[in-house]
Amino acid sequence: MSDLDEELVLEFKIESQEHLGTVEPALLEIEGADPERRNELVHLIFRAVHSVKGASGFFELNTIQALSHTMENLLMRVRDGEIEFVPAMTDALLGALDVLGRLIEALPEALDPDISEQTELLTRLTHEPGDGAPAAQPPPPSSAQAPPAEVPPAAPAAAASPKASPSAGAEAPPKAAAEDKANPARRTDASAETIRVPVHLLDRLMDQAGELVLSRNQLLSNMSATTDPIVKGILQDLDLITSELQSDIMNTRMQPVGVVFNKFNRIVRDLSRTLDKEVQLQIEGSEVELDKSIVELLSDPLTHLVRNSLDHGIEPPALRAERGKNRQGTVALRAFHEGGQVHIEIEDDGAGIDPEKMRRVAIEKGVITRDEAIGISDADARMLIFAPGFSTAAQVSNVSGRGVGMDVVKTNISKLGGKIEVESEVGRGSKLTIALPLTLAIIPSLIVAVAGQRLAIPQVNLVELVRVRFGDRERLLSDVNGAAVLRLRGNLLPLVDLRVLLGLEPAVREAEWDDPPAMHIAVLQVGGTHFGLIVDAILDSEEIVVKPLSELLEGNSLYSGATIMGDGRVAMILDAAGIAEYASLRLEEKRVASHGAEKARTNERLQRRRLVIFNNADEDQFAIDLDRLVRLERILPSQIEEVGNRPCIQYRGRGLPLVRLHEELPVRPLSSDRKELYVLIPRLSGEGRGILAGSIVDAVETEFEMDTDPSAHRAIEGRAVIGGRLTLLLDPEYLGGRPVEAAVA
Amino acid sequence: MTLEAGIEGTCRAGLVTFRIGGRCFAVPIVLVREINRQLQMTPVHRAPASVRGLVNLRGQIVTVMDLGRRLGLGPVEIGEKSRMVVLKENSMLRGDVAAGLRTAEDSIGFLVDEIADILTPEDRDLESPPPNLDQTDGRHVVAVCKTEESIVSVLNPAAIIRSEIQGPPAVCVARPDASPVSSGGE
Repeated sequence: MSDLDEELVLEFKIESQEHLGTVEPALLEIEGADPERRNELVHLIFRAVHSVKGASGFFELNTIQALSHTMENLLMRVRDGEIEFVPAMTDALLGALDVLGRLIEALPEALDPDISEQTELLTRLTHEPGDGAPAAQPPPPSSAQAPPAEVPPAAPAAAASPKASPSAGAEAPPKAAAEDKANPARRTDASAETIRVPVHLLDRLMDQAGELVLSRNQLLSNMSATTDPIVKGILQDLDLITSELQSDIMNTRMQPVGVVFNKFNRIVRDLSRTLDKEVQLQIEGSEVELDKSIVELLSDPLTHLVRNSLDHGIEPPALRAERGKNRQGTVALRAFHEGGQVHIEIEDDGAGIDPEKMRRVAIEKGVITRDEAIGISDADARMLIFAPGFSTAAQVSNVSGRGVGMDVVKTNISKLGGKIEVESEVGRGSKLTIALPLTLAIIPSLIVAVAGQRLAIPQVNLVELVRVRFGDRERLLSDVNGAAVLRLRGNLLPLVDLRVLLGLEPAVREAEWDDPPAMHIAVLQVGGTHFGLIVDAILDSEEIVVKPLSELLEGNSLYSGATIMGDGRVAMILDAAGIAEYASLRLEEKRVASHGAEKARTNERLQRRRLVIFNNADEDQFAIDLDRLVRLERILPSQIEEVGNRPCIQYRGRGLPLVRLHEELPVRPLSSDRKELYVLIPRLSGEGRGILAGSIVDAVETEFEMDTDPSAHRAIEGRAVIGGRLTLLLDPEYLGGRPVEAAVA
Repeated sequence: MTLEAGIEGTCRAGLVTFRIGGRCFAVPIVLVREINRQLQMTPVHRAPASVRGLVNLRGQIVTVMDLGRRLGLGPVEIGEKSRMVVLKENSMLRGDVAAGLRTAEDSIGFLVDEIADILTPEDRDLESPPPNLDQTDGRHVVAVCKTEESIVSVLNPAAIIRSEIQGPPAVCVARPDASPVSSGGE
C-alpha cells in the first residue's frame, strides 16, 4: 500500500469509526422508540452503514464491504417498509457491528475473519416471514417471534461473500445511490455544522491565546495613562475581544461526558444478559462538559466501575425478590458540577459493601494485617476495594473479580487529578463518586521554594503543611534505620528532602530557617502512602497552567510538567507519585518504620491508668478506665431480652439497653455457649447503657504505651499491649450511641 | 562527492552558522524559528546533562539544549555573545525541508557560544560528510559546507535530540583541517 493509499485508508478509518459510533446508540434506542422515531433511526443507521460500505469498496476491503452490505440489505428492507423491525434484528446488527468495529480498528491492516455467522443471521432476518408484507400493516407480534423460515435462494450469494468480489453486492448499489440522491439536503446540513480540526492545532491556538492575553495586559498597563478617546475605545475593544477569544478557544476542547456515558447502554445491556441479571441504566447529566483529554481517559475507569456494580453490586433477580427489592436493579450514572469540579456518580441499588466482609477478605488476602483491620474505620474498610490485590468476588467471574483493576481505576483517576469516594449501605446499595477537575490544563497547586527555585505541587496530592520549630526538632524528627521520619500525631511519617532528591547539597537548614527558625514539610499523599517533603519555604497557592514536558525530559519521573509563573519564569511541577517511587517509599517500608518505632520509645506515649480488662470473644481483649465505670454486673444469657431488635436487661427496675461490641467494632462476636456474661455499666452523659462482655480478666493499675489511629472508630481510644496481649482501650461514650430507630432500620 | 538533492536544496535555502568551543556548525535556516538571547533559564535537576533548563518564549516552554555538552565540547559558558537557536517543531516544517531533516515534536532551543553568519551556499560549496567521519555518528552531520575560512558541519537536529533521548553516544566532529577526529561524549 502506498503512502497516499495508507493515508486515505486512515482517513476512512476515522470517518467509519465516527459513522459506527452513531449506529450503536441508535440501535439501542430503536427497540423502545415510537414508529416515527424508529423510522428516523433506521434511516440514520442505514446511511452510516452505507457510507462505510461505499468507501470500503473503493479500498477493496472486501470483508468490511461484505459485512456492511448484508447489514445494509436488512436495513434497506426495514426502511422501505418491506419487513417490520423485530428485536432479534438489534442483536444481529449489534453483533455484526462489533465485528465491523474490530475490522476497522485493525486498519490499515485488512483482517479477513470468518463472518459467515453474522452474515447468515442477517440474511435470514432479511428474508424472514414479514417478506413482502406492506409497511402500513404491521404484522402481528407473533410473526416477529416466529422461527426463521428457510433461507430463500437469494441469500447464499450475500451469505457466502466474505471473500467474494465486490460484485457480490452488485444489486444493491444503485438503490443505495438513489438513497443518497433522495436525501442530499439532510446530509449536507449535518456535515456543514462541524469540521474536523486536529487537536494539536487547538493546543497551539490555546497557547497563542495565552500569549495574546499577556501582550494585552502589557499594552493595557503601558497605555493606562492615555487620554485619547479613540485609543481608549480601541483598548477596551481589544480587552474584551481577547478575553472572549480565550474562553471560546478553551471551549473548543470541551466535550460532553455523554460521549462516554452513552456507550454504557450497550455494556449494561450485554453484561446483564451474561450475568443473568435484570439491570436498568439511568443516565443523567450527559451534557456536562469536560476537557477532551479527561473525557477520553475516563472511559476505562468508568467501564470498570460499572462492570463492578453489575457484577458485585446488583444481586440476581431471585435474590432481589427475596430481599423485597424490585427484581430489576438500577445503576445510575450521573454527572454534575459542584464546587468548580465535575462530579460523576455511579450508584447502584445492590447489595452494598459490607465493611466487615472487606476487613475479613483483606486479612485473608494479606492486604492488611489483623491488627490493622481492627484499627480502620468502616469508611476506610470500604476503600479497601481499591487496594492492590483485593477482590471480594466469591467466585472469579469473567466480568470482574480478577483482583486487578480497581486499584488501577483509582490510580488512573488520581492521574487525572481526581478523587474517588465510596458510600454504601449494606443491603441498600453503593455510590461511588469521582470528583474531577474541569480541565487538565489548569490545576490548583502549592508553590514551594528550594535552593532559590520555585516548584509547584498539585493540590490533589497535598494533605497538610507541617512547620517544625527548631526547638522541637529533636523530639519530632528521628532516624529509623537510616531513614528520616517525622513523628506526627503518634504516627511515623517518612521524610524526603527535596534538596537531596534534586541532587542538590542538603543545605544546613538552620542557617536558612526563618524567624523563629523552623523547617517546612509538605505532607503528600499518593494512593495510600503518605510522606513528608522537606522544602526551604512554602510560598503560595496558585492556579497554574500545566504545560507538558519535552520528550527530552520524558524519562524523568520527578516532574509531571512545567508552568509559567506570573513573572514569566518557568517553574517545574513536581510529580508526587514519581517522587514516592524515586525515594522508594512503599507501604512495606512504612510498616518497617513503624516497627522500628516500637524501639524508639518515648515518654509521651507512656501512660499509667487504672483499667478494667475484659474479653468479648476470648481472642479479643479490651480495657475501659475503671473510673468511668459505675458498676459491673454478672448476668445469665437468659436474662437478655430483645426489645425492638436491641438487647436489654432489667436493671434497677428499668430496661437497660446493651451494647454488643461486635456490632459496633470490627471484633469477633461473643460465643453463644457461655454460661454467664458480664455487663459493664459506664458513667455516661446521655441515656444509660451497658456493655456486654464475655469475661472479666482483671482490674489493674498499669503502665503502658498507647498507639492511636485517628482513622479508627471513635470508640477506640487506642491500642496497647497489656499483660502481653494487644488490647483495645475503649471510650464508652461513643459506644451504643446511635438511636434505637436507626438500629431497627 | 555529491550530496543528496533534497538535503542540498534545504541547505541552499540558507544556513545559520554558529560557534561552539571554537568550532563552526550550522543548521538549515528552514529549521530555525528564531534566534534570541532569552537565557533566563529554570534549571531542571536530574535531567540529562545536555538539558540546560527551560525558558518561557512568549507563553511557550522551550527546552534548552547545551550543544557544547551534547557534542562533547564542554558546556557553553553564558556570556555577552551566547544565543539560543530556537528550532521549529516538526509540525511547523513545510515541504521545502528534505525528508531526512527533522527537529523534534516539541520546542527545542540550541544554546551556542555565538552566531557566526547566515550563509547561502552555492552548489559547489556543499558536500556530503566525509566517509572517514565515524559513520555511527555520521547521521548527526548531514553535509559539510566549505567556506573561505573553514569547513562547517551541517547538523541534523533530530538525530542529535533523538540520540540524547535514547542515551548519549559520542558525537563526531569534522575538523576545519578536514581530518575528522572522534571526540568523546559527556
